[in-house]
Parts: sequence; structure tokens; C-alpha cells
Amino acid sequence: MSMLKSRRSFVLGSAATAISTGLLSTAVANAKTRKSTIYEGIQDPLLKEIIQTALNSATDAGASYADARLSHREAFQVAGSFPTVNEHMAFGVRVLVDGYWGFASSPTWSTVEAVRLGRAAVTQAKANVIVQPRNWDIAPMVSSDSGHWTMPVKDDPFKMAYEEIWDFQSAFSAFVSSLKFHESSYSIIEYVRTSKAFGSSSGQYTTQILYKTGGPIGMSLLSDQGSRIGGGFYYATAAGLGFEHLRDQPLRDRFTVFYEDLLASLSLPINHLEVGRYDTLCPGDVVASLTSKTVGRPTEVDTAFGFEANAGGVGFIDPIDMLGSFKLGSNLLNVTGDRSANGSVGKVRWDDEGVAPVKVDLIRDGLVVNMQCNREGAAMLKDHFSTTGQVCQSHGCAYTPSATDVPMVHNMDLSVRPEKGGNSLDSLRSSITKGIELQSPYIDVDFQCITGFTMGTMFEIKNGKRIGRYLDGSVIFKTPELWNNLIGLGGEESVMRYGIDSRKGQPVQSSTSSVFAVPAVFKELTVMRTR
Amino acid sequence: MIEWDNDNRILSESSAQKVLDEALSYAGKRGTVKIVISSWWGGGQRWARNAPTMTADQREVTFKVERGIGSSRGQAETNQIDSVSIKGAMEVAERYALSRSENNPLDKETDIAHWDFEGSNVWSDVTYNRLVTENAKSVNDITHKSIEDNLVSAGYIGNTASTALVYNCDDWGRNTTKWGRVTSGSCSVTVRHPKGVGSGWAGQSSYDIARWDVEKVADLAYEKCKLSLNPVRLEPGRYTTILEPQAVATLMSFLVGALNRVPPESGRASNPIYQIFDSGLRRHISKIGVKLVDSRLNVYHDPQDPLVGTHRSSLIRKVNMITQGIFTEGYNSIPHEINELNSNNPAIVRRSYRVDGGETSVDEMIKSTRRGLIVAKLDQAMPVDDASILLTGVTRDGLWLIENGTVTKSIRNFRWIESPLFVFNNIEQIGFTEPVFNQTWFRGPLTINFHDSLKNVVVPTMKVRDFQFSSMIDAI
Repeated sequence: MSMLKSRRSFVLGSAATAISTGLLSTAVANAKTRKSTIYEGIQDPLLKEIIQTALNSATDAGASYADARLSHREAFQVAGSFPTVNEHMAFGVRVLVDGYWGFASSPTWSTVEAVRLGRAAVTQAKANVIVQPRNWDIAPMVSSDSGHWTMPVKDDPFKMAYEEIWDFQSAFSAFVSSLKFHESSYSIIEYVRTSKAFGSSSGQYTTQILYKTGGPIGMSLLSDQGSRIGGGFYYATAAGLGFEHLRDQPLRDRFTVFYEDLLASLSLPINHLEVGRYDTLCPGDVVASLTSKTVGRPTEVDTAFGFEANAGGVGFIDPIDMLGSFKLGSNLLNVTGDRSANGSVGKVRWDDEGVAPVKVDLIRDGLVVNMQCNREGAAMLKDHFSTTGQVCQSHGCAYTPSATDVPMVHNMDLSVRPEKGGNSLDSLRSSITKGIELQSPYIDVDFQCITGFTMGTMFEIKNGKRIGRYLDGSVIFKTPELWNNLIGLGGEESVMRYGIDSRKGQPVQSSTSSVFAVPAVFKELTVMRTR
Repeated sequence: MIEWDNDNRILSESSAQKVLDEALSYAGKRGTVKIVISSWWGGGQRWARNAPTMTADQREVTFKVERGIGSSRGQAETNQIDSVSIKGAMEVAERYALSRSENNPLDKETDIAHWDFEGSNVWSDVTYNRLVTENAKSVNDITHKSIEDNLVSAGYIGNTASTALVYNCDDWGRNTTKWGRVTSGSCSVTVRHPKGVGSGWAGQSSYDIARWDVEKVADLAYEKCKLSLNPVRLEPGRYTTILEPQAVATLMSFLVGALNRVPPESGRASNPIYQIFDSGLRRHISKIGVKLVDSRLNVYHDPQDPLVGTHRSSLIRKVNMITQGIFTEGYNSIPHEINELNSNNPAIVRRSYRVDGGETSVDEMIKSTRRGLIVAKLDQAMPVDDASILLTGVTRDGLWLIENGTVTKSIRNFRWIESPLFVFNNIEQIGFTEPVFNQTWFRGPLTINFHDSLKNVVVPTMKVRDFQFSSMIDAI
């Protein structure tokens, strides 16, 4: 056991050992004394002083509103054959001056730097004063409580011996590699703990500790006859959990089921695909990805209003004309945005604007009824909220990967409501007389999220059973047609959480959100060949 | 602790060297050591709906160490460069490497650290010293024009500077230390009709923004928007297509990216463009010497070329990848070059290159086209099949029909499926070269193996036969 050194001694940012306390002891310095002070976790009062100094500096320089963030991200990953540990600290200040946003950030946590960043952010904003005046507003805070919150996890990976994690993963990898017909496999599991402090010129001050554990796992099989099949295993995708995410679930049993399904598929003949329209079965992972790309992205308020025009694109849902009246899908389609579900990767107590997230229906009975809003976006929808009797408020969608970056609207955790009395994947399959089933496809939608394309292996379904494989099939769809052709959804029992990555912005930002999804059947989607 | 100010936006060589010296004092005697100390500054202005939406000044510093002991490796990274953080990172990397040295037989490669380099810096004081107010003035001009024309513009102007001190030491204690710094800037503009019935885009990038002409970029985006209004539907199919340089670069970058050898020991599938399995010899043999594309094409990277030189170009020599259509040199990993090929001068750059141009103007290309299309940009490109580099994506911000030598209509966007191997073997005409836009927002940890360089690409316009557009899309 003496060989098992504490994990805390390996992670740079932990606080118990000589390495870790030393690492951070010089990172925080007090302006008055200009001496280093030990940083004792995100609730250290000195951090509040640093943030307050930045806010004072910004408002003294002319900001009408200012907020400041400190972020401390610790990450541990075993990818391939060696481990990496990463620590990142950032300090960002955002200000509003005459209707213009300014932002400044750096990796230095100190009150001296706080003064500089506050002024620098104002300088950035003021540069725009030569441009036309901007009549700009942000939605008021419904509640601006202060406090501290730690995401509830059972096993903080950063308090464990890293060998325990490594051994677990190595054993799992060895198990996967030992399976018959194994050709290759991957497992990129990351453990992340992020501590955040936020303060605003409105007087709010919050601190949080968040966790993210998981990542993609997949394998491909190669038969003796040279037939090959691959697929993704989704039980370990990123979640707002600690190490229990992997250890407390029957990972091997579930992987064995996944493997056996893959193995059964490997023996299926490779058939010739006739281009045409087919009833299409999508497993939960496909529905999760479709939901993120075709419902999540276009309901992000900044995308909808054209803020992403020079980057990811302008969404096809016009919030002024289409909210409350546009039928995106059949009555079966109900999608909710939320950031409070246990285990979801987006779960927070406050978003990166200090807003406590609210649960919001985005699609109700197929109708687009709301947008995912930050404070700025909510203000742009003021009239809509007023006419529909809703409170004009942010839904808590502001997110920034670290305090280095500007907060933007990112997908909340999304939930596709299961069908009452709905079916399992198997029973949905058995309801299809002639159709196809998608298997871990790559899904691409255009820059307005309106036309989409899938790529990857498909199964031919006849009389409720898989009877063959198509290697070169692709479903092409228009988003409203896709969702209006939704004829069946899985039931409560088939709900599963998937961690979905997405990117947006300029500079590009990445984020991960959870999508709770069920399998689905769509009638008569267009299927073509890619080669 | 770094005290940042307007003059101290990135690390100086002496500051980085000081950090390195200290880091090395914590390194154990065994094994390999790779350290990258990098810093980065970025100033950027984003706008949308004809108004600035964010103006930002961001700084970053990274200390990254990789230790190799025997067959095992460990890696640690931090963005704090005080003594204790560096000591912690060095110790963590070493402990990771030590803890698995017996159990991990996979990593057989060992980087060696001494080879010769030709030096080149891609640095512009103009870029580094450009003021935020100058960017704001440019944005003001662009948004003013769009308001006057009743159009809606969005875009981004950014200038960045970064430095890297790279240290490599092999098992025998042989080592090198290399320092490099680079500036980069980019400007891109999208102009859309307020009703969403037309969209135009233009962009420009250079390490030296004195080479920019923001007004010209904006004018081009306006012109394309106006020309793209009310697009009509056209049947998908194969068309003679004039690919503007931005579109050529999208396709060519996938071909260039495929010219790398995948080491068998990596466990990944071999790269069918670089090498092919010879069943007689029972081993992979390279395709060097094989004609890949049209014999008019020369594709190369020259670190001395200021439009192409990369961030760590001082570590890279000139590489002729394709000469007169023939695959002449690919990329290997450094260990493979050094240990197996006995090379002292590896070719490791992957993403920055120049393609020689021709002498046909776009007007001439249009005049000589009976029926075809002009494509401004190929967006969202992704591979469908690695073996043939079959790609798919969509057209965006400009697609026009040519009939009898004249541009007649704006066309609704298509999804396309095509391979650069097919496209570049069906070239009819080659036009003038120009640098294309690349996203120069590059921050944070630089990879130790230098592969993650900036994408500085100079390519010509090309007219090609039978480009495949597979289906219509509704996005404009």
C-alpha cells in the first residue's frame, strides 16, 4: 500500500501535499502586501477580495455593469498508453460600457492583476464608442443570491489514489481487448474538477465546485472472413459525477451486451442499399445527437438572432416570428432544457452570469415555445415574454469553458420526453416491417441546422428483425420533416443520459451537455448511398 | 508570478529561458525530457447585427512537460510558471513515467533531440502593436456600410502573438533548445440580407496585418451577398466548377494531411495515401514516386516563405510534397525519421503549404465555361472514406451558375461529396494564387511534436470537371 501514493500528491492543484499547496501558494497575491498567500480552495476569502478589486477597478473606470470570474480546472486523463495531468487557472473580467461589452483575461490570480484586468476590460469596451451608440440591455436578475455549492459526487477522483483509477481503466481495457474478434478499441476517459468564483457589480458573489467524468469508448471487430464492424459504447460518456460514474455501474456487463450485439451484427450479410424512403429506427444515442444539433443549437438565442452568422451560422428558427407558432415536430416531440438533473454534466447552482438556471420547455407537443437564453438574449425577447405572460429572465445558459473565455450561450442539458407507455429499442424495431436502423452514425447538419446528413453503418430491418448491413447508406433530412415524421418514442425505461460535445463561437468554444434521450422511429426518411 | 502590462503581453526569450533552467534543475537524471514553455496574447473584436458584440484582450501561458523513462511516459501541464508549480509539474510527470515503466511496453519511440534547422521567424510589429481602436475603426466602417445598404454584417477581427521555447533531451543527454515567436491576424466578414435571402463571405489572414486590406475584404463580402440574393434551385449532379482559393484549400488540406506515415506501432490503420500493403513483401511500402494528381500541381512547404512559414517554422526545412503531380515527400514522426531512416532533418510540418498557380484569370475561366458553377467556400468538410479521401460538406456564402460564359444566377447551396484525388486529377485551368483565410485564434499549449502549426495556405483558383454535388440544402 505504501506504493499507492495519494492522488492528491499527483494532481498539481490539490491542497494537501508539498507539491500542491506550493503550486498555488504563489498564484494568489495580495495587493496591499504584495506577498503571496496560500489559496485554500475556492471559498478562500482572498478570492472574493480579488474579484471585488476587479469589479471596483472596472466600475471606477466607467463600467455600468461588470462581472468577474476565477476558474481553476484540474484534469486527469489516461489516453492511449500514458497519463496526463493538467491544471489551468484563469481570471476574466467582463464589463458593459455605453452598451458595449469589453473583456480581459489572464492566468494570474492577484489583486494587482485584478486592477489591471478591470481597467483593460473597460478600455476594450470603450474602443467601440467611435462606433454608433448601442442601446443595449441585459435582463434583470430574478434572484441574485450569493453562496457556495459543490456538485454532489460520491467519489471525488481528485481525492483518490490515481493508481486506483488507472488500474480500473487498464483492467477494463484488457477486458475489451480480450474479446473475440477485437480489432481495435479506444477509451478516452477524463476526470475534471472545476472550481469557479463569480462576482458582479450587482453585489452577487458565488463559488462552485463542479465535476465531469467520462468520455467516449468504442471498439471495432474484425471477423476471420475480413468482415468489420465498429460502434460506440455510451454508458461512460461525460456526466456530472465522480469516479462512481464508472465504478458503480455494471460496466462490464453492459459492455458485454454491447459487444454481443456488435458480434451478432458482424455476422449479418452486407446488402446492397436501394435508394429510397425508409422507416428509420434511431437508438437513443442517435436521438441525443439529433436533438443537440437540430433542437439545441437553433434554440440557442444568440444563434437564432444571428450572432453566430460569421461562425457556426444563423439558426433557422426566427425567435420573433416563429416562437409559439412554429411546428417543428409531431406532437410526440417534447424537449426540455434544464441544468438541475443529478448526474447531468451541465448541472450547476449558478451559470456563468450568476443566474440560477430554470427548467424551460423548448418544444411542447412539437411546437417551438421558447429559446435557451442568457441575460442578453432574454432582454432581446422581452416583448415575447411580455405577450406570453412569462418573466423576462435568463434561463441560466451562460457558460464559459474557463475564465479565460467570454461567456456565451451554450446548450443546457436537454431532455426528450419519453412516450407514455412507450417501448424499448427492441420492441420499436419489431414494429417495423421494412426499414433501416442507424448505428452510431456521424451526424452533420448545415450551418442553419435545417438540412442534415448521417453517415455510417445501417442495418436493414425486415419484419422487425435486422437482416443485413448497409455500409454506404446515408439519411438526408430537413429538420422539420424529420421531427414531423416522428411516429414512435421509447418509454420511460429506455431513457438514457448521453454526454454530447458541441462547438460554437469565434474564437471557438467547446462545451459538453447531457441529453436524456430515448430511441425513436421516424417514418419514411430519405436514404441515399454515399459512394 | 507574471505582472502583465501592455508591453508584457507575452513571455520574452530570457523569461522563458529562466523558467526552463529552473525546470531542468528539478528533472531527474534518467530518461527523456521534453518541455514547452509557451505564451500567447490575443486581441479580438467580434460583431454581429451591425454592432460590436465583444472586444477582448486575452493572455495565456503554458508550461508543459513530458518525461519518458524506459518504455513509459508521463505528462503534466500547468499555466502557472512560479517555482512551485513548475517543480510540481516536473515531479508529477516523472512519477507517472516511473510508476508504469515496467508495465507499459507500447511506447518504443524515443525522440532524439539534435538535428539541424533553418531559422525563420514570422513576426510583425505592426500586428503586435495594432491597437484595439484601429480594429474598432475597421468594424465601424464595415457596419456603417451595411446599415446604409440595408444589409446585416457579422465578423471578427483579431490579432495575436505567441512564443514558444522548446526543449528536447534524449536518453543520452543530447539536447536542443529552440525559441520561436509569431504573430498572426485574421479578418472575416459575413454580410447577409436581413430576410436571409442572400449571404456573402470573405476573409483574409496573414502574420502581418500590414498585408491586410479590411476594406477590400468587406467589399468582397458585400459584393458576394448582393450577387447571391434570391438563389434558385438547381438539380444536383456533376458540374464543371470554378473553385475559389478558399474552396481549393479545403480540399487540398485533406490531401496534404493524408501524406503522413502512420507508424505501425501506433496501432492505427495505415494511411492508404502514404503507403500500401505489399502482399509479396508482406509489409507496407510507401507510395512516394507515384503520380497522385495533375502534373501541373506542385505542393510544398517553405518555412522561409513569409506567407506560409509556421509558428515553429524554425524547426522545419523546406518540404516538397508533390512535384509535378508526383508524391515526392511525406511526413514521418520524428522518432521514425531519426531512429529508422537515419535522417537528421525530418519533415514534420503538415498543415501549411503553397500550391503553385497558373495564369488564367477567373474571368477567362468563366468565359470558357459553357455550363458550370462557381463555388466560394466549401464548409463543414469531413471525411467519408479515408482510403480514397472521399469528403462531404456543404457549399456556403456564394454559389453561382455560369451559362455560355456568363454568370447568370445565384444557386441554392448543395451538399457535396468528392475526393481531392478526383478533383485534382480533373483540373482544366489553374488561376492566380492567393493566401486563404484561416482561423488564427490559436491559444494555449503548443504540442511538443510541433504538428499543431498554423494553417497558412496559399493556393490558386481552379476550374475542374465533374465536381459532384449530391443534394440540395435549404440553408442560405
